[in-house]
Amino acid sequence: MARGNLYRIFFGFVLLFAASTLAATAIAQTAPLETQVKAAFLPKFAAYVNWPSGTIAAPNDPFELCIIGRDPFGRELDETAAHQYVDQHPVRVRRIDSTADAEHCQIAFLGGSAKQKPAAMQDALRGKPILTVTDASLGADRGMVHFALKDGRVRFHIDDALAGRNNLAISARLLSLAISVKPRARTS
Amino acid sequence: MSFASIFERRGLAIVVPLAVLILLLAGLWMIYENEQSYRHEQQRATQVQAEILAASVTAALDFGDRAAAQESADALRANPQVQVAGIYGASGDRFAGYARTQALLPLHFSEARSSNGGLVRATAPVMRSGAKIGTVYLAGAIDPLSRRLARYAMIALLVVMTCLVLAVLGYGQAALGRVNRTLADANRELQFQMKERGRTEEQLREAQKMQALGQLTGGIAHDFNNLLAVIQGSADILQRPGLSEEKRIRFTNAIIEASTRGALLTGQLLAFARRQPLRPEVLDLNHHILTMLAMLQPTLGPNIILSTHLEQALLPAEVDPGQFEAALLNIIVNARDAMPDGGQITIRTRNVTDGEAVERQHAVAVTIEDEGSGIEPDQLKHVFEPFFTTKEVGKGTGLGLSQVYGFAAQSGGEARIDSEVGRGTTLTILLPASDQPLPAAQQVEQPEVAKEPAGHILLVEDNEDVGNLAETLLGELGHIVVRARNGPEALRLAEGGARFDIVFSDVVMPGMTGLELAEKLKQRRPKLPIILTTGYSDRITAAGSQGFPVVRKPYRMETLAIAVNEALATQRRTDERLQF
Repeated sequence: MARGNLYRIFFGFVLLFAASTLAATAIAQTAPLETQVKAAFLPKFAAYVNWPSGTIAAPNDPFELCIIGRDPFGRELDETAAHQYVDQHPVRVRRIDSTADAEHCQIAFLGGSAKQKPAAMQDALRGKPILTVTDASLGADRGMVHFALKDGRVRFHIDDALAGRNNLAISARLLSLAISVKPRARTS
Repeated sequence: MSFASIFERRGLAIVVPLAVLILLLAGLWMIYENEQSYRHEQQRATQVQAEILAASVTAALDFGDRAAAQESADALRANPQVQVAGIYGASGDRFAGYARTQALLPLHFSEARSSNGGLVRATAPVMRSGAKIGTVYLAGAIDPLSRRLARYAMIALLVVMTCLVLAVLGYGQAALGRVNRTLADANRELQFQMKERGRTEEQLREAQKMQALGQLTGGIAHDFNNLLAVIQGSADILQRPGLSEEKRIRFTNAIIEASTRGALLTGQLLAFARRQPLRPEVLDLNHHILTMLAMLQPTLGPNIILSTHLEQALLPAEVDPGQFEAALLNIIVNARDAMPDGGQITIRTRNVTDGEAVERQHAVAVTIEDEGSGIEPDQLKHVFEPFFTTKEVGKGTGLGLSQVYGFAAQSGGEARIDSEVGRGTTLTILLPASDQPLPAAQQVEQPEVAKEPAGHILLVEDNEDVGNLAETLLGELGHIVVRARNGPEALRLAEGGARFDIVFSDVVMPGMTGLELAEKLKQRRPKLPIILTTGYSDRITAAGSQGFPVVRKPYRMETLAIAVNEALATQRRTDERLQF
């Protein structure tokens, strides 16, 4: 969608913090804050994406949020995901090294590794019902959702075409918040 | 005033205000209902808006995108109804929103609930996967009271109009009721007066009847006294010894004349009472008039001159001769009375063809003119009414011209009168001409007294004087008379074997009437001739004489002779026939 660049992400607590601390300490601590926001965002995407039916086999199986390769979130993510549910499935954070183990993941953050760049990971997960998320601070390779900073706020680009190829449907409500949207090809 | 009408009036007095009240209440209720449903509708609309907004800002709130949330809230600005739109986070802090009046947009959700004003409020939770992540608060404006009232003005107007109509109707009805009551009162008064009037009229009629009766009896008494004076005087003279033959004949004639007039008078009375049936005969009126005048001339006095102009070939008329003579006599007597100083009475007869004719038939007109005082025009139209008389009380019965009128009408003709005060009066009797020929010869012969051999006659008569007279007359005629005073006595005589050829019986008798007696005798001796005689009888008039010959009282010797002789002859003829 073309109106993605109209939106800005407001980062209230960042501003409050910046206004009340010294610049030096602020630089040292902005990274974890940005990471915190991203960590908070990650499990939320699940509410705006539809997976093909039968993606999660059993009712009590967890909703798996996988970090493949580098993990910028650490404990932060575990905390935010701790009490979250997606359609009554508890969210579980799994950290894996390569896409080989990503069979049961619903959301995969492609952190990249020495062996596998995020783009390679993306290619490896092609066709599978997994929402891929990448981060601009970790490289230019883009998944379906690509975190980026705009006007000092954490926002994201969405590649709906890519999601479409993996049989995922992203809600328009989420699309409307994106900086940019790469629309999916119309299928007839 | 009936209970129902009271109820009706009371009912009306209650119904109209009640109806107005009900209408007003119904109108208010409609307005209230409308208001309620309007508010409810507004509430629902606001709620729906809130839910739509809640759904559309989920992601924005979820990802903390104030700009996107604000944009969604601003989209509601297009709806002027929405005054406040607030989006609050899970903690209740304001996240985005707007208010048309800034003061109205609360910073915290808890304030939103308590803020008041003429607004419709709605809240909707912002849900993400079953979890509440925030709240949307909307406040919609309600149309100002004036606009709402304008909307209800039509209802109010209709209600008021209807109430007005009802009130007018009620008032009209009440006014009508008042008028009706007045009318009913007037009607009652009128009916009362009508009843009063009827009673008064009844009294007046009674008084008139008594007056007429007095006049009648007075008139009759006067006339009869005159006649009785003549009879008594003549009889006194006849009793004197050594009376010349000429005088004897004159006074005897005077008695006969007076009796004849008395009989005419009673005949008139009976005719007036409609108890005497007409016995029409075909008559030559000229002949009757001449006979009558010859008899009348002496009684009218020397000052009255009778003259006649009679048509030669006058058509015959079928009338009752007795009644005709009575009518003529009545008119002539009136004419005489109208000329106390004397004058001429002219009697004319003529044939009337067409024109004047009664019912287009040929008719005969008898006209009597006098040179008397005449009759006032206003009295002229009353002269044919019974009991109307211009004569003093005791001088006339008021029946004379009434008899003339009745006779003419009953005979199928009519009577007319013309009069000019000071010049005289002309009275015309029109009688229909008869197609029947005149009887061959009018019987004028003297009765042959006792020509037949004398018969035995049973005379039944309760009145001693009349009985003596009848016995004398019958004896003079050469008959042998056996007398009985009443019906049972006659029956005893008959059963006792007394010999008689004829029964001559009065009709009106105490105990057994002549008719009953005749019936009983007829059963015993079917061939016995029975002659009845009466002056007046209801029964004879009503039922007829049942075939028995009737001799009317008063009877003359000739009449009696003819009746008895006829009966004897009939009996002898049947006897002869039986002998063959």
